[in-house]
Amino acid sequence: MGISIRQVHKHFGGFVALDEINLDIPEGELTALLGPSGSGKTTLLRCIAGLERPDAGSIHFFGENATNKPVKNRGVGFVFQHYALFKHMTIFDNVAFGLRIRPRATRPGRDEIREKVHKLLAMVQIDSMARRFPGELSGGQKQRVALARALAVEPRVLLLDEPFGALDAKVRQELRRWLRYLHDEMHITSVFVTHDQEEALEVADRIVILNKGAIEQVGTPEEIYDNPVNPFVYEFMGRVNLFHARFRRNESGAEGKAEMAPGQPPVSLFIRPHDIELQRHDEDGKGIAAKIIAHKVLGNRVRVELLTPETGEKIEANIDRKTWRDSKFNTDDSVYFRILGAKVYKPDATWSDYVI
Amino acid sequence: MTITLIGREPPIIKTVLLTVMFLFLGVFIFIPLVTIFSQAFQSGLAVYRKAIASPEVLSSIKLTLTIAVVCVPLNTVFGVLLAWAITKFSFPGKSVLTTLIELPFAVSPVIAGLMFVLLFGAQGWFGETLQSWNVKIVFALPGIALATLFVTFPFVARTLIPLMQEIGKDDEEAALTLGATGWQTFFRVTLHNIKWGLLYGVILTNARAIGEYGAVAVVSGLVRGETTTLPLTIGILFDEYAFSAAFAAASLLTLLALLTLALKTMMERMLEREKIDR
Repeated sequence: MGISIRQVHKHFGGFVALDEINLDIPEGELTALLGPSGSGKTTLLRCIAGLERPDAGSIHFFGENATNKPVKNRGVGFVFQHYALFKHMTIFDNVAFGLRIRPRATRPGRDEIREKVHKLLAMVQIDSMARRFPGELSGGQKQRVALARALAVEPRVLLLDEPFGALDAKVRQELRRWLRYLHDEMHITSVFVTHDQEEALEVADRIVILNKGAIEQVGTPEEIYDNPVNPFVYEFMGRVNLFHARFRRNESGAEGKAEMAPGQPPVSLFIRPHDIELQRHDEDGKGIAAKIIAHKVLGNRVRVELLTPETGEKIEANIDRKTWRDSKFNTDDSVYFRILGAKVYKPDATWSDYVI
Repeated sequence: MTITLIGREPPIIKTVLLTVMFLFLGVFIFIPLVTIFSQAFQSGLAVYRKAIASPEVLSSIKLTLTIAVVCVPLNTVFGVLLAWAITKFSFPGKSVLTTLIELPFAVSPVIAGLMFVLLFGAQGWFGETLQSWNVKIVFALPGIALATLFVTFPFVARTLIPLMQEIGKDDEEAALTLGATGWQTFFRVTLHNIKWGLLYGVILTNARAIGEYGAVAVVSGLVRGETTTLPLTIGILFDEYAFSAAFAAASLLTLLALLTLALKTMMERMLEREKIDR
C-alpha cells in the first residue's frame, strides 16, 4: 500500500475539517480527492504532505509511520495552485533548488545537477526557457516548471493542490491530458485535489469523494459515475433532475412511471439530463407530456428546459444537436419525454445540500 | 478613478486646492529648508567648516552614528522575527502583540525616555542593583541606545507584516517540501521576497534613530561632548545663541533626511515593481 491514512482528525477552531478519515492510496496510482469547497480535501492533502499536522490519527508512507516526520524528510513533491515559484530565481535555478540545498554529503555534483534539470525541463517541454524568470512565463508554463521542480528531488509521493485551478479552460484541458500521460510514464504515487468532477473523471485512476470532512465514496471513475452510493455523490458527479415521487407500478425503476401516487412511501428519483429522450408523439404510451420552455445550444449538445403541465415540475434534458435539429424541436413546443435511466434513493440515504 | 472625479468638478476648485497646497508646502517645508542652509552658510564656508569640525559637534556625530550602528541592526532582526511570528504562526495573544507594536508610535517620546529613567536611573527599580554592579545605563550610551531602540522598534515590523501577509506562505512551504531547512528557507526564499520592504523599514529606522530628540533628551542627561547626540547638540547650540554652529549641524541632519527621502522613494518604486511581478 502506498499511503495509509488511519483515523485522521483535524479541526480549525470550531470547524471540523477532517473527521476520522480512513483511506488507502495504492502505490503507483493517480488518486483524485474530489469534493466541494470546505469538504476537507486540501486539508487532507496538506496532512499527507506534513504541511498540516493532524490532531489525531496516523499517516503511513509505504508501511512506515510518517505522522510526525517533518515536511522536508517526507519525500513528497508538492505542486501549489498558484505555482509558488521562487520569482527571484531563473527557471533553471527553481528546478535545481531542491538539489542544491542538500547537505554536501548527498548533494549531486554541479554537472549532474545541470544534466538532471535540463532533462526534467525537456520532459515538461520548457527547456528553451531555462534562463528566464517565472514572471516571463504563462500560467501553464509556470505550473509545468513547478511540476519539474517537485519531481527534481525524486519524491516518493507527488501531491498536487488544485494544480489547474488557476488556468484558463483550454490550457487546463491540455495540462490534464499531459499530467495523465506523464503519470503513465513515471508511475509515481500521486494524489491531486480538485473540485471539478470532469477533471477527476478524466485524469484519475481512483476518485475519493469528500464531503464535510468525511469520505463519501472511493472507487474508479466508472464505479463512481455509474454507481454513486448516495444522492450526494450522484449530484456531485453531474447535473441531475430530482423528483420526489411515489410509484404506482413496478418499483424497480426505469420502467415505472413516476407519479404522485398517494399511500406509497416516497422515494427520490434521480435522472441525469442526458438520460431523458424527447419525442413528438407518445408512441408507446410511456411518455410524459411536457412543454419546452427554453433551450440553449451548447456546442454539439442542446440543453432543454421542460415543464410538465400536470404536476408543474421543471425538468432539464440534454440531447444531442442532431436529434434536436432532425426533429425540428423548438421552444414552446409540446412534446413527450421518456426516462431512459434513473436512480432511486430511499429517504434515509445520506442527503445532500446540492439540489437543483 | 479619483482623477476623473476631480476632473468633473468646476476647474476653480482644482485651482484653489492646488494653490492652498503649494502655499502650505512653501511655508512649512520649502522656506524652512532654505532657511536652514542659508543660515548655516550665512557667515561663510570657513565658519561652517569650523563649526562642523568643532570637537563638540564631531563627538556628537560619532555618538549618533554609534547609536545608529547599534540600534538599526538590532531592530532589523527584532522586526523580522516579529513579522515572521505574526504572519507565519497563529498563537494566543497574537492580536494583542500586533497592537503593542504600535505602542512606541502612540506614546510621547518623552514618556519613553522617562520610562527608562524610572527603570534604570539611580532612584529607579533596578537602580541599586545596577550601581552595585557598577553598570551605568541612564545618562550614558546604553540608556540612549535603549531609548532609541524603543522609539524605532515598530518601523521594520510595520512595513514587513502587511507585505508578508500579502505574499503568503506558499513559497516557504514549497521550499520546505523540497527539503530546505528553516534557515535555508529564510535566507534563500523569504529574504528575497521581502528585501525591498525590509530595506524600506531599515531606512526609516535609521532616519528616526539619527533624528530622535525627545526620548534621548530625557535619558542622556546632556553631558556635553559625552552623551549629546547630534540633535541634542543642535538644541544646546541653539539655546546658547550659537546660531551659525547650530544651523551648520542642522544642515547635516537635513541632508541626511533628504537622502533618506530619496532612498525611501526608490525603495517604494522597487516594492511596487515587485508587486506587479507577483
